[in-house]
Amino acid sequence: MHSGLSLLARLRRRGWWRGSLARARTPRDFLLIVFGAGMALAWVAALVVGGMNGGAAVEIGEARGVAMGFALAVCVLSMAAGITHRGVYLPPEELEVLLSAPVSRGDILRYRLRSAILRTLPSAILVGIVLGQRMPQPIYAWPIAASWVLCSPILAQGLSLLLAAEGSRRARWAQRVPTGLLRVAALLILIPVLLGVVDPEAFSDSSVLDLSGFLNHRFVAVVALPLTPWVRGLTATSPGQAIGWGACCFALCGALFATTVRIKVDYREACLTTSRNLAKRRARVQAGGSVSALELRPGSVGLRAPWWGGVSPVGSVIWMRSTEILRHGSHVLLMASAQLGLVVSMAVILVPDVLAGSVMVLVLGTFQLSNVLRTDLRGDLERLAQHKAWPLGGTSLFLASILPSALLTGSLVGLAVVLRGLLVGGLTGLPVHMAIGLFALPLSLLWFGVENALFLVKPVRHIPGQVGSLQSMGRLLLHSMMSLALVLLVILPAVLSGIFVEHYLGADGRWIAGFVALIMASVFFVLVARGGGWALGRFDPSGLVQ
Amino acid sequence: MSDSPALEVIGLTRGYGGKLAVDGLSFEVQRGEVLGLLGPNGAGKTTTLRSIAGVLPMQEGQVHIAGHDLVSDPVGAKRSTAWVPDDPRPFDALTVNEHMLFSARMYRIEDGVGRSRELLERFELSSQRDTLGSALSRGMRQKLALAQAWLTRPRVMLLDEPLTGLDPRGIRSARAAIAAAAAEGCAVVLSSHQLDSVAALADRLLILQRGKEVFAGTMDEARALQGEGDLEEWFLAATDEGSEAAECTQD
Repeated sequence: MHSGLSLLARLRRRGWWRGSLARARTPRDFLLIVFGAGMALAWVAALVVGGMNGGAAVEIGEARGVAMGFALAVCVLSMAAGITHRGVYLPPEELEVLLSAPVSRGDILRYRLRSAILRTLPSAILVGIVLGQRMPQPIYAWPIAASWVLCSPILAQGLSLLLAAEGSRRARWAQRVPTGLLRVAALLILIPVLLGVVDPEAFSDSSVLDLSGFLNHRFVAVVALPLTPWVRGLTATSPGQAIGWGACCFALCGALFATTVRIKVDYREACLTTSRNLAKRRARVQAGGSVSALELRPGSVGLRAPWWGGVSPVGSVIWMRSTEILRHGSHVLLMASAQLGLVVSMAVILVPDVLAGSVMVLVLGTFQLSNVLRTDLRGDLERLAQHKAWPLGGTSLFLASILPSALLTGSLVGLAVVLRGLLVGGLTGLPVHMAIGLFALPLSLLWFGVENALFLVKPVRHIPGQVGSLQSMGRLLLHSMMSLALVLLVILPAVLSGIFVEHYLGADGRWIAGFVALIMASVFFVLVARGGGWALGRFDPSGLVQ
Repeated sequence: MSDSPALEVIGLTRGYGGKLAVDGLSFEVQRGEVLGLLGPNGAGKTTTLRSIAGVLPMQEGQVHIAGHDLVSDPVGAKRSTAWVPDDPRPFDALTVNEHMLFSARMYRIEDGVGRSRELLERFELSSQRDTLGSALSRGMRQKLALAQAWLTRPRVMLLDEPLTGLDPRGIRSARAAIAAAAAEGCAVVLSSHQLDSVAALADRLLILQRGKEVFAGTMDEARALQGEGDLEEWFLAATDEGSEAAECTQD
């Protein structure tokens, strides 16, 4: 690689550390870094220990199924990324400098690929550890799983270069590929794989999500033939197998890298488009992330929410939020389906108890969707200064901002609870599931309220790999724990009163528990709304913009 | 209507991390008056405007907008104010026309639709009325923010670098619109580094340096101090700390 590019890579790495240190100005910042890093390390350590204790019990046939599903899903996701973003992505600060620099295109490719591989390394190690714990010999599986994750940016880059020549037949073909469907397909493969990692028996036993039939299909077996070294390496049971297949995997990675940087294509035009699009997305992620970070299609302009509440400042904020959700409709539907699909599948397969499964969908579904559907104050960080200038009281603005997302989440989770109830128990017990489903609305309102209020007290923009990400991860974990504690304060008295009624009065305690939970949720929601209004009033956007 | 000023700022103080950005600033703007707010980068202009707009909490001081106290009656004060930030950020998912309708309802403007059409025409946004906020260029975003500000018929207009990013035709329309707003009785605070535009529009000047006032007076008083030189030379000298001209201006 060109010495100037090597120097740039070194300086950028140094700059990342310098920036991270500069962000830790107070003892509290240091504590958050220690907390974030500590929790991450504790999680990884638990996985490693769990893998060492539980790996050997895995049946080889199931493990091969999980390994094949994992390799195939990563491959499909890489291909979707390669087709969507053609050419080479260069961040805005590098775009003009590198394209006009006296270095070869191959050197730029090497530089970008090395940066991408380095960025992927932490997640590759983590994925290796998670997947490895359900393989016959975790110690062999970890590096091989990591090598496949590290291959994914090379694979995506190779494909994107082959499709980079503007106006070529290949580029025209790429524009017609439904990459969204490819991603859905990858997710459909990943869900049972994840379940297989959590509970290996579920992978083969479940009649709800049967992946093994799909993976054993002749066509899939032929398409997945190049993945054989990784599948065999992941499921290696002896050192000889592991070394042999491992060497094969790493050699294939190296060959893929060498071939990719030698692809002779003038990628500049595609590079400019891709870099511009990705820079916009990065800015949107920094501004709030989740659904609102995805690009809007011009056709979505035709969709508009009705004017809730007529001519009033509160009504106009609700209208604006509803329209935002409606115009991101396909993304919202896709992400909500993926999240709720995973939660419902987990509840169906892993939790046999009917009532406990419904409560799991209720709590986990609300938690997951509140992270995805951030079309509220959390998704509008860069505009909060403008919001504060509106002629609207703090509590009214707070409520109007969270209402549409919370109601949508509550409705979706409620439906998921009922659906899961029907899947497991049929029509028997439907009234109970419907009652639990109805509770999704107050729970969702409360959760969104707590999350937004905490966010206003101290906004967190966590983007993995960015400067200060350990610190923001620590803060995010702390926020989540506080939200959970507050929600537990609502649920705990309800559960206790239910138990009391059942044990001492002999009546059905579930309805009393539900009633108490509803009362507690309402009281807490009023308090949270007032607190949110107060937090919005004292929110100081100067640190964000100045 | 009483003779009280449209905007009255008394002892405004605001800092960041122990360092004062605005230090005890006081000024008034009468109805129909344009106040040019000048100062080098970091002088505290944006902090002043954001504090008056109710975006930044003040540490000390009072702000009265059209008779409403910003602390005790923030909603009333904000309803009388239009703030155009230096980098307006429209909503990605709303079209240009919907931004106007949104503002009309937010500020309870009754003839919002007709007035929106008129203002989109005036700020050359008619052809972009169905364009999403995410697809607007810097200049278009600026024009939209100005159109939204004019839509609300404010008593006080706070304009932070309103001409940045506009093309020459856009600058001319914006300047004409500011003059027209003042003629209709609106008090305007105009912060800009484009000194010729400020000189053409402002009735009075307020120059800040490190959060403090270094000059406050009418344009005629400023011209008297300029002597033979132009406004740019005088401004540079006035904000050059330790120079003779700066001391003379402050005196």
